[in-house]
Amino acid sequence: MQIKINEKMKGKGMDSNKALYLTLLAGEIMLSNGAETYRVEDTMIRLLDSLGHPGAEAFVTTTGIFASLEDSNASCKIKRVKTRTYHLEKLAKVNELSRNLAEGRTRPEEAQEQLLKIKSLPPYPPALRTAASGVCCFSFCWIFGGSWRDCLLSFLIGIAVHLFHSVLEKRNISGFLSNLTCAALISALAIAGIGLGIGINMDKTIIAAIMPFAPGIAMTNGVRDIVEGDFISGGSRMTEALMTALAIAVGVGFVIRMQMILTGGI
Amino acid sequence: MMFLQTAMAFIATVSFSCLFNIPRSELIYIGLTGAMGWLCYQIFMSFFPSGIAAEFVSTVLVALSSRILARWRKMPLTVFLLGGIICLVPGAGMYNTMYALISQGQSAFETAVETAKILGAICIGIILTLSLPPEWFSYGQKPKSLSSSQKEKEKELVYDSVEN
Repeated sequence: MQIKINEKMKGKGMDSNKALYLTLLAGEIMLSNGAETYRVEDTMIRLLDSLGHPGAEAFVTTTGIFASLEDSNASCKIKRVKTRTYHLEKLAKVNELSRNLAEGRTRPEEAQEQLLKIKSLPPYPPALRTAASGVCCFSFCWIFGGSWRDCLLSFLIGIAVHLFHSVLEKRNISGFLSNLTCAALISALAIAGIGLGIGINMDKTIIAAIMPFAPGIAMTNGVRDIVEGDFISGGSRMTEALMTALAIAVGVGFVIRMQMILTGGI
Repeated sequence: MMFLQTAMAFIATVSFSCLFNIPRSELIYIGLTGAMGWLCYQIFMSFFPSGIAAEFVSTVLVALSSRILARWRKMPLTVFLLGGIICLVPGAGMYNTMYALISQGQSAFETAVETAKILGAICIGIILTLSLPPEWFSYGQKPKSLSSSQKEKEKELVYDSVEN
């Protein structure tokens, strides 16, 4: 049966090299922008299938992609994925492209152009993201029961820390260190703000301001991978979430402890 | 008061999602998911004041609506789940654990266990909801086969039709 299908697909399928290149490009875009590994595998197999290579295999971990074809040359390619950011719009777009290809609404020849277009999709404007960070902290402070003055302080801290974080990102500071320094800055600013009389409750302000750094996406993706039975990727995602939480705790804790010692507290 | 809290949860969820470059067309649905989850948490807490059970029920509700939305809007599930769940993350519990750890004479054990329980409730809520069979969320749509042109192949190779 398998051979029969392969013969049927002969001449219809895309050149193996090109098909693998496109699939790895799609996989790379997804993996480096916050997809779960099982989804990357699923999409890659679907893509290869609609490019005329049924029976292909894809294996994805959090840091690398492997794909191989069922053809006479036994083609296989590997891609190492180093950077990881969160741009879920790209993810949605690749998903859409894969669906369109499978349903024949997009021709395989157009796929490369579209993928490159998705890859260079710009993020939200920086000003909007900064404002969103402030608003986010404001509303979280409200939810957690802070007074309106705490909310105002959280808003200001949210904006300041987002700007600081984007500077760190540009300098390629590693995730752990950048989370740690951002958390330290948050609690330092909260202590300063309360000293200046803007806010009242230090805990509410700090909790609200660290929410944008909460490792929500790593945790959800980790759980999803574990549900799908991919314990390697799921476990490493959960470790990532744990490390982020640890970095935040150390950053906040260090500054509060320093303040305790300096002001002669406990 | 509850209305204002829910409205704030909506704003918090939408602005949090902006930080992760969510597709613009989905922002309102994500906001509604988050607001619904927080409303459910508050209502549950006012009847049965048990934080862990409330977190569990709200997480299941958020995850269910995320799955339905993912099907309906043809988007990856992460898009909805990430924002929807954020109001339920026990930020206060983590902070209190950390605070108890650094201040002497205070036991961090109880707050740590409490936070771990809440995190566990969220994880189990997500796992349970995501383990439900995908056919339940397809509203009579045929689960999409891998390739419509190759009916014979499906008999040989069984792929699952996980879509979201």
